[in-house]
Amino acid sequence: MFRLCLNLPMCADSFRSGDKMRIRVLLSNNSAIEYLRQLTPQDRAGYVKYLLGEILNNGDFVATSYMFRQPTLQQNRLVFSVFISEPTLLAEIEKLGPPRQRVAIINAILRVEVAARIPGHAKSLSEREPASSDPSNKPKNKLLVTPVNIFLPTPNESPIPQGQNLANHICKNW
Amino acid sequence: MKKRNEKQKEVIAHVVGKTIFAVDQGYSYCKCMTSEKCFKFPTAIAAKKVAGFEGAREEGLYTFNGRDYRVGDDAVKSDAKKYLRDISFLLDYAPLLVAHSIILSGLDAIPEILVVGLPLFEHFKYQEELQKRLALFIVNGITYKFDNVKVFPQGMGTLADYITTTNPDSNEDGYVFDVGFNTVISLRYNGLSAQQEGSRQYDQMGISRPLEELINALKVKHGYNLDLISLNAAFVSGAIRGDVGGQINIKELAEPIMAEYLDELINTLKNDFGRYFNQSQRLILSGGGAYYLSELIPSEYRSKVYVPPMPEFANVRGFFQVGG
Repeated sequence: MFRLCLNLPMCADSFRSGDKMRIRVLLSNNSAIEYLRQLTPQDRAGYVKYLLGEILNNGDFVATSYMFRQPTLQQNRLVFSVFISEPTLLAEIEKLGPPRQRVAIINAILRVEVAARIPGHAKSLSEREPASSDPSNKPKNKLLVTPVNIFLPTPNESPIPQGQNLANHICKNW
Repeated sequence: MKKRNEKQKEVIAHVVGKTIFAVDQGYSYCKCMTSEKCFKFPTAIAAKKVAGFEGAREEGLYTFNGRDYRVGDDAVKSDAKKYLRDISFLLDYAPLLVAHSIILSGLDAIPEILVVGLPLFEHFKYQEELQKRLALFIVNGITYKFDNVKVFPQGMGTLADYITTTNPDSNEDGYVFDVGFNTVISLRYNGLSAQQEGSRQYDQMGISRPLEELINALKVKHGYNLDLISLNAAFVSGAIRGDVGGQINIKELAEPIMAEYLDELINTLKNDFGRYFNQSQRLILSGGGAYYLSELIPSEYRSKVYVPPMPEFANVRGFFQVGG
């Protein structure tokens, strides 16, 4: 149905507050993809927040403080990031062993948990918050393949400050 | 380019008789600028175990504080190489990096004004210390004495370069995003003056992160082992030859990885500085990371984005400009 990749700081022996856990869910189930695709980004964020909140607040992990970045849907990947700031969670993760072992264990837990939640939750969220029919709210392919135009502003009439004057101007509020 | 050269000459004329030399010591490369050229070398140092032994002296060695070192490209080849990773490295070896860069510059005399950078939020704490260490030092028996050492926060060089290159409206508000190897500096400016509020340095969020992912992808999909420096070179050329022949289109492989990184970066900035970020009239994207990201800017930001030419050198060009 899907493959889940978890990127934790692989080389770090210990975590610091604010370290990021990035989670990519690679979806191969068409109905799940279609369901997520029709959601607005906000709905999708709500969905992921619910999903991850359920997982992290249950079982061995306790996370009372984490932040979500807006999850995006790129092709068949659902990408979202969690900033780990809860010391208890950091300590719990560190206890799991060396970095690679940690990743493997967390990966396994999340894989089972996510698998258990996607279909049922998708339905209930859909019932609770119908996806918007406004096409402008649909996820857009935000990335361009053409080179960016180098923007050149209209030149200002006043002379350009130079040398120390320029330094003073830039740093005056620093 | 011609316009830029003319501007440089104006700056040089501004400080009659004084030569300026600017160095931006980044985590991957030291970027340098004289009135004649911009150049760079890897920010790497390799110490030899014992200094000053008898016998023929090897070429390219620098003696500093009683020890012999290799610097830059020479150091990269050594097993004992160390890269710039923290402020103490920068303070300890800044004289060595400056001496090496002056030798590479081809200047026939030690410049009077030296302009260097420090990470955005370490500037306050360490600028005097760095000034002191660079004002007078000895490498290979040569005394380097600078009349004037100026230390600026990184990111401000890019802002100075932008101002002198484009002469924007004096009321303009915006952001400099200096995407370096290890760090991303987001510097907010208001009326073309840098502001602490709304500015931040993100450590461990630089372009090295997606590059490592790209290295893994190259290894897994094509069995190709590249280090970060070779990967950079391969990316610029656009393709590398696979082990079993045929070309690997590295840009095609990099695009989804870089797109994901950029998306994440934008979301982080929006989350941290939503109001300032959204109200910015200009977003200046500089640093080595800009090479990878400039073609992937989302359409909603394209009209605001300014990517300076050779964005990796934007900081050092600005340091050079304010050096006068």
